[in-house]
Amino acid sequence: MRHLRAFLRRVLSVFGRTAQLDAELESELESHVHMLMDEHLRAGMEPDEARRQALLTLGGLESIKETYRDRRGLPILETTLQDVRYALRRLYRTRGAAGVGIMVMALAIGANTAVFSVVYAVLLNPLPYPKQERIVTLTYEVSSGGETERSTQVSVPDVLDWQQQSRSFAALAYYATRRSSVVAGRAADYTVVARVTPAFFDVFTAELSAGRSVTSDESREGGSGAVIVSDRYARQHFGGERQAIGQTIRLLDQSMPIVGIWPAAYAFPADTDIWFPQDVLGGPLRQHRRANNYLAMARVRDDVSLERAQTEMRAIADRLARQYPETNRNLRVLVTPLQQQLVGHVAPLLRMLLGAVLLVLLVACATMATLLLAQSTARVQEMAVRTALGAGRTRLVRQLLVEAAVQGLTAGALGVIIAVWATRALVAVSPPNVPRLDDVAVNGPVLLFTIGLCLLVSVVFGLPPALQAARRDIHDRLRAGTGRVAGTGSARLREWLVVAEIALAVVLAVTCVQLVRSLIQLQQTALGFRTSNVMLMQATAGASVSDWQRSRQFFKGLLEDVRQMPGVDAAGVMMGPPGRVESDSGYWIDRMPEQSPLTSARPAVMNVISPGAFAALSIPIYDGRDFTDGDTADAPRVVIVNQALAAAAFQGRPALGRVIVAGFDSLDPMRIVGVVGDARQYGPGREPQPEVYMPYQQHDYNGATLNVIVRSAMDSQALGAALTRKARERSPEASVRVSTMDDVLGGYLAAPRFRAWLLSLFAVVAVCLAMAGVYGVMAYIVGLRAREIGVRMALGASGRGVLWMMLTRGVWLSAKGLAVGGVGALAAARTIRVLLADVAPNDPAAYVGVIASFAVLSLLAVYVPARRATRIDPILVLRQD
Amino acid sequence: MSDHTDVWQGTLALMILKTLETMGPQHGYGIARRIEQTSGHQLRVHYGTLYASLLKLEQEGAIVADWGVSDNNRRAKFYKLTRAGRARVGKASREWQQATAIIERFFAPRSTT
Repeated sequence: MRHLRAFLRRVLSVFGRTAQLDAELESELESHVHMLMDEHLRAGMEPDEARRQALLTLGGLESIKETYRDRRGLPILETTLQDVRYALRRLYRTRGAAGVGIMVMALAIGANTAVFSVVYAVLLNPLPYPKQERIVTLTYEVSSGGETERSTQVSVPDVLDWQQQSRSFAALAYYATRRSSVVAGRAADYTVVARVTPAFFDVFTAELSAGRSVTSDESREGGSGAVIVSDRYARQHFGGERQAIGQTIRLLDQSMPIVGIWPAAYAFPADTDIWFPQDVLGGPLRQHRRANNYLAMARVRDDVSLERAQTEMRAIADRLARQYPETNRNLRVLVTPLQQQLVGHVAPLLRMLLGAVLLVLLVACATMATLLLAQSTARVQEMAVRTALGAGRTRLVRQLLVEAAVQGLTAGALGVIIAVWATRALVAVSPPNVPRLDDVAVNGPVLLFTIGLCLLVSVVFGLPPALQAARRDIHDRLRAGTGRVAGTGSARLREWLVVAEIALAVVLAVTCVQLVRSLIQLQQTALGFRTSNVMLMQATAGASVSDWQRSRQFFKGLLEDVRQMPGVDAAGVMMGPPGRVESDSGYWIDRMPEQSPLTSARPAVMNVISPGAFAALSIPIYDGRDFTDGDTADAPRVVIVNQALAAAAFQGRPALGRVIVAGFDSLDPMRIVGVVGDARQYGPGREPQPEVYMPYQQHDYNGATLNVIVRSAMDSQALGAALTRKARERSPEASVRVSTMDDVLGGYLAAPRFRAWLLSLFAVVAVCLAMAGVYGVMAYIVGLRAREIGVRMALGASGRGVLWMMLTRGVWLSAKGLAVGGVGALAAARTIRVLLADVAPNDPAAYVGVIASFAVLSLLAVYVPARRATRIDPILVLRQD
Repeated sequence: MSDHTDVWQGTLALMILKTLETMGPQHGYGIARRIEQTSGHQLRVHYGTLYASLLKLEQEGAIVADWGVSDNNRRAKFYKLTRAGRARVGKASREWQQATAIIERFFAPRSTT
């Protein structure tokens, strides 16, 4: 305690008013001298003699003060501060060169901080629930043909069995979210509704911010029903949380009171506004073990480890597989922490960004170290003089490290400013599927990361030059200043740094080129349908869900209205337009087999459309006809398939007239009346899948919700407003959501575009840095060998010979860097394979292109200083000694 | 001068504290004189060490310093024990006596068996 206190006071006194304290000591000692004098005077001495004796007794005044001062402050802190002051002065003096270095580092540190702040918020920051690490998702792991794949959607019977047989969980719930039409007051809106089992709230140990939870009377099957809403929804629709409690909303034909509020900051899944708890979920298909329509999650009991929960679930899955081999044979169950499950899909992207930005940092460090090394060689004499004056080796190393740290922290401070800006930019341009972006900020942990990074970087780029400077013995160093010794050791170190810079930049550039090529390929992929000038209006008829004939009348009427609007070229209705697939199921040729129908079904996308939808999307009809208004519920069942399905099902034989059965809302046989072109339903990154198109007047799925597709050259805003107006005229209670087809498809390109852009930025920075490094080192070598070159030229070497000598030296350097970088890029390609769409990870064009342009660039970087070498005037150089 | 012994390392602080305890507030000069007197002029105080020692005690909170006027009307810095300092003197002198008592037994003439 008392040592701590003394230590703190010493630290404080370093920053205190030392001048005043010195004066105080001075007068204290002065009074001491006077008292001694008084004593001597009393003994009868002369005043002069008395003073002399007094000073003698006291001993050296200066040494007393020195001892005193050392005790007052902390010598190590003081000398460090001295180093800092010296470093700042030096920095100011060499602000041109130092400024370049600091800006380089600031950019690298800023980029790192920005990327880390995103990584922290998205991947590392724990979810805001009590004991969040115990919240897990339960998903299938489907194995087929030796490969396993995670499948998040599970079936109700399986979940109920898990619930019954497991002992590891404090709560186990299942749920499904969907954008549904919800009527609050008079207006209807699309709202994200989560239908959950009551245990859902126990999984999160959710605390409602107002109201109460839903009672068992309300949640039981056939009960009155009640919902929890988010605070955001309460504010938007009712003006506040309190006001919302007790209000009624209408959802799927059912009117229910709002009984509680869940704060949106804690709400799960994100963006949900209404939670509708029901004891039994699943509708008509809930007996079906392969109707995988729900997500399951659970809270692991406090006294059970995640491993034990996983072991138990594995055993249960094995049991179910034996019990129901037809449906469950290839299924296992994975217990995954929620956080991991949430961010799993963006983790590779973020890890790649972090890797790339760290490479940039490494290149920046190497550049900085090259610059410092060049400086330190120029300072050989200064260091030698300091050593001669008695500065120890550690003292010199410390001083140089402090200088590096001062530069590093200055760069860090600038970097944070850049990061605050860059973080905002990063969030603004990041793809829409990255969760938790609202939390991204330059905060405490991020700042800690940056400061740590700065200090680490300072050591990394400061240590080599520092050790170098302190190594050579004093004679060598004093002599070196005269230019006779070209420090071979430091030259080799510098050359290795340049090789490393080039190699790292090559890795980044090759990776970047591959990503960009992959992006271009995605953008150029023929989608099979038109996206420009196509608008999409999702609409839910205000009519009751069960009355699907009336909702079809609504769309039929709306379509007639829209077709009459001026400027509309084509219009149609579709359940799941490309990019927004609604149903993914299977079909059989001719009839559904009685034996194992599930395993014999061939996969296909299911769609329900109106006449004119193909025209609106410019999907060509290759064979047969489009649907007509005559394809009604009373007419024979007809169907249109795409070429992919025709090829898969009939292998080149005509498809027209054949009969198929779709595992959809009805199992009626349907006759094929048309074959249309393939459209990529899941965006440019995936091949077109087989698809079944059924007429909208013969199928009631998906109730009252369909999409109106309109092709028109009109301005999208005006068109959107006009479409909304038409829909509301037909039905005031209709919910509508308007978007352009470009926007819908844009979502598929957002992530590739994001990473390609960012990586290009990083790669450009890295290449510039590396070239600056090459240039710097060559310029330095030329300067160092000026004398030698002068002598050579004096002895008759030609300018071309000297140029050749310098060029080969530089080219050899960059060749080494290119070779190392090429190998590094191969390794990097393996890690980013997942992110590349069609480009083979080892796209030779990328390697050849990058290495060739690097060769040209580094030749330029070498040429300029080499050319300067040929202009060295031998007389001038020789005279310098 | 050669018969003077330098103050042993570590014991100076204790001597200062003990002096302040017996004499009350005192300036550096007075403390030095007193230590020399008490030792019968066998000890010589290094003034550099003395002032550093006073500063250390002050930093540790055992003493406080204040400017005052000496007997012969000179401005001087007076040092005074704090409550913590007083406690420390008590504890230290007990420990010291214990230690010397133990050492003494080693040097004491062997009692007849």
